Amino acid sequence: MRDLLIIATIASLALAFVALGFAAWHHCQLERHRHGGDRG
Amino acid sequence: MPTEISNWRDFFFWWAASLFASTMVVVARVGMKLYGDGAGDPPADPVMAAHWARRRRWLAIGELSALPAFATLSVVVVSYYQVDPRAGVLVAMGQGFLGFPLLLDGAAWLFRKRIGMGPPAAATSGEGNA
Repeated sequence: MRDLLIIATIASLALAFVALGFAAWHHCQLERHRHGGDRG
Repeated sequence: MPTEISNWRDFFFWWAASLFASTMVVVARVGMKLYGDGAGDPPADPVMAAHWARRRRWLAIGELSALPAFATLSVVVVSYYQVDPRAGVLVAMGQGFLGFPLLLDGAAWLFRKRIGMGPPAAATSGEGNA
């Protein structure tokens, strides 16, 4: 039971980090478009 | 009055209480951020609109997926320092109030450096007008 809780917590943090990384990436792409930068 | 969490039944009760409390705070904050006055409208450009929608989606996923970690951390703090479990619920609410946007700003800084952008001209809190 304790291992399950530890795994759930670590998975929770890992998913949060990954998701916020994606969110930050799209945020930066939006800023890049807004400032007229070229893509690619 | 310090109270110790002595068995797994108490542990899960207070874990669930912390999870519920932090969920309420996080859902309220994310809802205000994504659908409140400052959310803004989607951009007209389809490419930018796709980035805008994906940013909102991943932001919500990131906030909500951190909830079990918040609950575990608060209960572990209660158990380790033997404080009142009700204080642990308040700690979970505080974590939900702060949330992960602080980390989002750090991640945005890293990605901004990676794609060769300078520092932002205006202060952005991760989810601004798009």
